[in-house]
Amino acid sequence: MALSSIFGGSSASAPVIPPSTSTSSTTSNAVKDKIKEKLEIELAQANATELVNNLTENCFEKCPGGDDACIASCTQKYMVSWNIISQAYLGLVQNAKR
Amino acid sequence: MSESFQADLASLDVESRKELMAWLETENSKSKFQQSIHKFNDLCFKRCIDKIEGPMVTPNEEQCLKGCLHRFLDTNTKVVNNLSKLQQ
Repeated sequence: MALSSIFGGSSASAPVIPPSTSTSSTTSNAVKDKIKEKLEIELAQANATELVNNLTENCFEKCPGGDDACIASCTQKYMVSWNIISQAYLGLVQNAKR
Repeated sequence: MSESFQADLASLDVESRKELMAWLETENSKSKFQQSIHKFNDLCFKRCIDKIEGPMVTPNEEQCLKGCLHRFLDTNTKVVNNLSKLQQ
């Protein structure tokens, strides 16, 4: 996602927000934290939604009977797998940067 | 984004906006990394986890997952190479 999309519209048509000079730095910090918090929540929600969707799809396939024990095991297995893939990919990315 | 968000953004001074943009860039790449993991795990779980017999990932399955990740990334590299050859 382009950063400009978060701030509304393409860079060509983005409204130029006049810099505010009257705001004190403490207010600015509070506002900044508020914006960060809001975006953090949105990002976390998107991440959780993606995880739930993938989990549901995969465990639906692996547990055709839909019994509780299978779904519980599948959920745990998927998360362990997530961590294995995440660690392995992080290792590869970090190696590539060196 | 909501109106209050736009208003909040408009009230920031230039320094704060710059700092916010830098922060966003970091968050954005973290998010992209997570997205990749979601994709890889989805593909490799399908390929490597045959049966759910318990909550543990077996050593064989773990090997398969790592191999699957490598193969996917290798495929990506090869596809890009082939594409650039085709363009010549």
